[in-house]
Amino acid sequence: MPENKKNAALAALTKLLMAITVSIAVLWTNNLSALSILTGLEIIIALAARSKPLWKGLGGLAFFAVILAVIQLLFSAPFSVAIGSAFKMFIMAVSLLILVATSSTQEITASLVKQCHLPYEYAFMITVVLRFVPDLLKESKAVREAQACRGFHPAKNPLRRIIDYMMIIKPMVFKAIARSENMAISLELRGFSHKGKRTFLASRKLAWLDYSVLVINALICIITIKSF
Amino acid sequence: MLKLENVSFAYAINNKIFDDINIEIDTQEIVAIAGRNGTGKTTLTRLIMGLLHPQAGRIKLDEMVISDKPPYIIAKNIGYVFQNPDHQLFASTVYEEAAYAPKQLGMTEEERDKYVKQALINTGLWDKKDFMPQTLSLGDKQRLSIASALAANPRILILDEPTSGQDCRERTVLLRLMRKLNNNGLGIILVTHDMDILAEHAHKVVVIADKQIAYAGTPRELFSDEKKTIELGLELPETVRISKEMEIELSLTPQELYEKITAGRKKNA
Repeated sequence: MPENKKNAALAALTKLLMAITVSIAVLWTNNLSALSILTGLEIIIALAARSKPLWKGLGGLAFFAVILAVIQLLFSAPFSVAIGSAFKMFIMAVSLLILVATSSTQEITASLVKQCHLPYEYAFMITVVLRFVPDLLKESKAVREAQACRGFHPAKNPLRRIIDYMMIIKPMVFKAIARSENMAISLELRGFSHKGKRTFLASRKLAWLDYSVLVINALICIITIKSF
Repeated sequence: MLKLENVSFAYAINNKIFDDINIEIDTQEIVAIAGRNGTGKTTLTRLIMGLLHPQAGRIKLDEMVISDKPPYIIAKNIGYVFQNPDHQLFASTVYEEAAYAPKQLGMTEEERDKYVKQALINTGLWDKKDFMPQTLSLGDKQRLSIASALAANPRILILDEPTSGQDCRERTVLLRLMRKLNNNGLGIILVTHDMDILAEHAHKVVVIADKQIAYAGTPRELFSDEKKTIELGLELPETVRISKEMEIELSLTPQELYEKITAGRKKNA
């Protein structure tokens, strides 16, 4: 487990609730000033997390937000709508990225099951999706390299390019299916369907810091929406 | 001749994998690349293939500098077979899978058909040309990966741990195929941890250790110095170990060992 995940100051549930609160707030308002303040809030939280992967992700998301705004402007969307939707996408994605980058998957599952009372099977599904994202990224690199060694060179024409990328997607889909089958068998063999009471190694109760941050976060969201 | 001249490479600052290495690889031979885990065996092949680019030095194939070329250019001369064949299989038939590289590299239909057929016959997959690649056994999938690299008609084939996960029969079939391809003039660069394969099949061995080429020479020279072999993080092959135990001349293959033992018996009789 990475050091920043092991020693995260806030519980996974706190970060999940913060992500939900901020997401509701950004869906509530279309005011650009309010959205700017919420963007600033998320950036401050992300920087405070002191996680390099999170900072890298922040840069990537900012880039996508700019692209989103540009595309909307190109298709004649009003300026406020284009910038507003870019802000909204950025804020929601960053809030979820903070949760994922600074909490272990075990802790997220434990929070969803024990504190949010989500059935274990559903919580586990979410965990598995999060768990496999880095693996899939690594695998897509391996597949791209394997195909490059056979002359794969995506065309410049966007339509042709999409067809070319099927050479990357297909092996990944085949591998994902095989992997999910292996995983299902391995889980069953280790008692996944057992209906007894489950215990969690990563279970963590909320502390005063969690409650304080939740209240402050909620207040900032409410004040920001009400003020503009 | 494939030449690496003063090549240095690092994945990150202060984490050099190769520091000013020089090596010449004969494109007619089977050259094994060996070394401990993490010494850079696969990195070396990726540099050759253009998947990585050296920070200093250059790689040349005969007189052509290839270290600044992308993989799809290098693929015309060098084929790469990855350890995991599932990373590349996407087509709906074995034939289509093998025909991918020639198509990408711009061969005419006539050339394509010729090389694909030849590659599938060589690898023993012609009878399965209409099968779906995903339904093949691991050994067949590995041979299909080789066939799809061969179909591009390369001069050199890089095999990265080709026998890993294969059963005894598949392993033998694959190694025989490798010998046959080499006898037909194809150069082979073999990345392996298996000292028995290395001793039996390689003409030359390149051992990587401490960011350098720690050894480049024949397997016989290497294994005759047990101390050096161990220092390089390698093990003696079984045949060499038995030769030493029996205090007979060094044998690299079971056949050679058998001949020396029977010759010794006849001499004693």
